[in-house]
Amino acid sequence: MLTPTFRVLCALPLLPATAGCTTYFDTPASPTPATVEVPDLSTFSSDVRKGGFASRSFALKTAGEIQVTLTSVTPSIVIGVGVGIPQSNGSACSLSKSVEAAAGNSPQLTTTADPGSYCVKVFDTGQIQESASFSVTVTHP
Amino acid sequence: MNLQARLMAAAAALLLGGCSKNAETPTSSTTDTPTTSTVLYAGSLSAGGSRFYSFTASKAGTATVMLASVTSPPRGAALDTPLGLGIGRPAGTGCSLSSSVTTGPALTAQLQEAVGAGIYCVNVYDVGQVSTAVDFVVRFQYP
Repeated sequence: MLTPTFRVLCALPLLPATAGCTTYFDTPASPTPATVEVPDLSTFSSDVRKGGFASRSFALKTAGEIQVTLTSVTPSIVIGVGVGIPQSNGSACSLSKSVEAAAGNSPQLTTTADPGSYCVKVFDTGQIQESASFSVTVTHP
Repeated sequence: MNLQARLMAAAAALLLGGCSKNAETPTSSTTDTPTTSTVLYAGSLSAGGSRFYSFTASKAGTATVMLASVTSPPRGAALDTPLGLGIGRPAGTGCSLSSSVTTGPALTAQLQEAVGAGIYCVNVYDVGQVSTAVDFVVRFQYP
């Protein structure tokens, strides 16, 4: 016959034991949702001087599509925008594809790429008088 | 052992033994380690020109080659100029190709080749489309 005090003492260790192990024995009430790949989206804003360029690197973890949208340019002129591969010392962005474009809401440049390091580059094509400010959005896996 | 002592022992065993998996330490690491090397090969190619770069594969695997960029100096605008891209074995002062492709620049590998351990070369060459010198960047990976 157990005393009331001993009943309590005996039950206490069972509480953490069962609570701590529930994850091992739980059956999910509903299936685990599938992982949804959300593309990375980054905005790059800077200035380009006459005859110059600006670039920024980004990385693809998986193969997929890169979309580049030049969303604003001030003053309103046509400038060059491209996507390419960064030099290992980070000093340059060697372009694979480029276009001359004005700012817009839809991608001016789309390309597919393997996983790895890439870069977007904005450059003067001859219309910059002194300097121009811009924003470019890059979407990728 | 009386009933109380047996129940205490059973509770202790459940407490200590029930969660032992939580405390296990792996006896060996399962972390993957990189098994490929990546090289960026940048250069300039004039009309009729050819350039190659040698590398050593340390083990068997797949080498991939990407003509990533062809640009016009000095401004660096991208060109669609197709170039020859090949992989092979160094031979004399050149590169004896085992496979090759004529391709414009892209950010996906245009050439793949199964290689064993040994010395190989990547070759970039004009196929008649280069009129004034162009700059190129090739990214290749090998085991």
